[in-house]
Amino acid sequence: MRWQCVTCAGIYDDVGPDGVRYFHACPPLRRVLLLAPGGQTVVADHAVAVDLVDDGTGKKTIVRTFTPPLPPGHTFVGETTIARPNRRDENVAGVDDQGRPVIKAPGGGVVVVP
Amino acid sequence: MVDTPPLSAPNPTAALVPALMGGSAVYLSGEDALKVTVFNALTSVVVRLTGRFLPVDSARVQVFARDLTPTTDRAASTLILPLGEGWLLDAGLIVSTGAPQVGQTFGVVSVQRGVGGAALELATLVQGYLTQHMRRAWPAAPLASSLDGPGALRSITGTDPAAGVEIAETVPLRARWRVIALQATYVAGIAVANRSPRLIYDDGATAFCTSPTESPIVASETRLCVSSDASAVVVALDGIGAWWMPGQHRLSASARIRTVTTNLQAADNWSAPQLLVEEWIEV
Repeated sequence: MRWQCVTCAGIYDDVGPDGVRYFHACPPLRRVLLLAPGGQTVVADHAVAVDLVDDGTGKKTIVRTFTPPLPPGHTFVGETTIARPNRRDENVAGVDDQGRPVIKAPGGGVVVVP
Repeated sequence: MVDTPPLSAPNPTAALVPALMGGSAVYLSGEDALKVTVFNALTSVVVRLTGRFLPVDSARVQVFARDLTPTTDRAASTLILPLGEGWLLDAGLIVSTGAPQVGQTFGVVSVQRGVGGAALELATLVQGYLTQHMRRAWPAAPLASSLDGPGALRSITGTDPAAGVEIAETVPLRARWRVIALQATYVAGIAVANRSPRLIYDDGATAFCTSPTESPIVASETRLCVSSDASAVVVALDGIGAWWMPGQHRLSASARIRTVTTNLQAADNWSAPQLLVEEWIEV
């Protein structure tokens, strides 16, 4: 049966053509790592547009444009990922007191895709 | 020093130990039972335990057969079979329903004393992968690890992500993967930007292998991104681009194979990834 995850809108079949179950897990969200003026590293949500700009001498420089702009005094360190809020993970972590399987994270649930 | 009496003394009138070719029978005291544990990944599988038992004070060999329908999430499913006092002559496991590959159904037969939470496993008799034609039997077969030998070859269609969302596939619990090949199609929207998709392996939190593409994807371009165990970087031709992928990495449960696309636009769309993996059950 085909399902759509309510949290990430991904679509998948719960059993593959080879007869093995598929356990959907929502993809993580991308975030940027910033160095704050106080020296601490913070995780922030900024879209990053990356361009290679020729400086006219044949040398190319990576130029990043952030949306929204970075706070004053903050510098870009790198990128990271965070778990998606209300993520779904269908891997079976154990059973309840009645022996029924319990998945790791139900998230927002799923809907059947006709 | 005072000798400690045995927990349960053997029957003094027990028959002589039966002679077996290639081994010796196992004495079961009546408090002992056979425990079958199966770890399974394939739907519609039934595992059958069979064997022969010679009760004490009897010359008639009894045959036993029991079926176990395991779960399909690679978790342990168990069956307990008390046999009474006597001699276990042989025991074996085979798949009686279903057609798993090697790597999909793993069985263990052990001798257990007691039941429930107080049970004590005393000896392992059978341990290894099962198929509908390949039996694991005591006393013939050696004990095998679930990570020994070849795994099951699987072609997996992953989750088709929504527009503007990256691919992320997670190795399922109690599985171990070797990713042999992967491909997915990137359909770029009309927004002008140079997209650069990277293929990343991580351990569930921290990346340990990153592979870039050789040339950016431009607006309105459709590119099939492919990856296999190859070290050459291929220039994009005919809408195909390549990632280098180390084919010898073994990925444990919760490790992830995912994309990170520089300049990913909201209207860009990855297709569902298609992966070819070799899979073992991690017991």
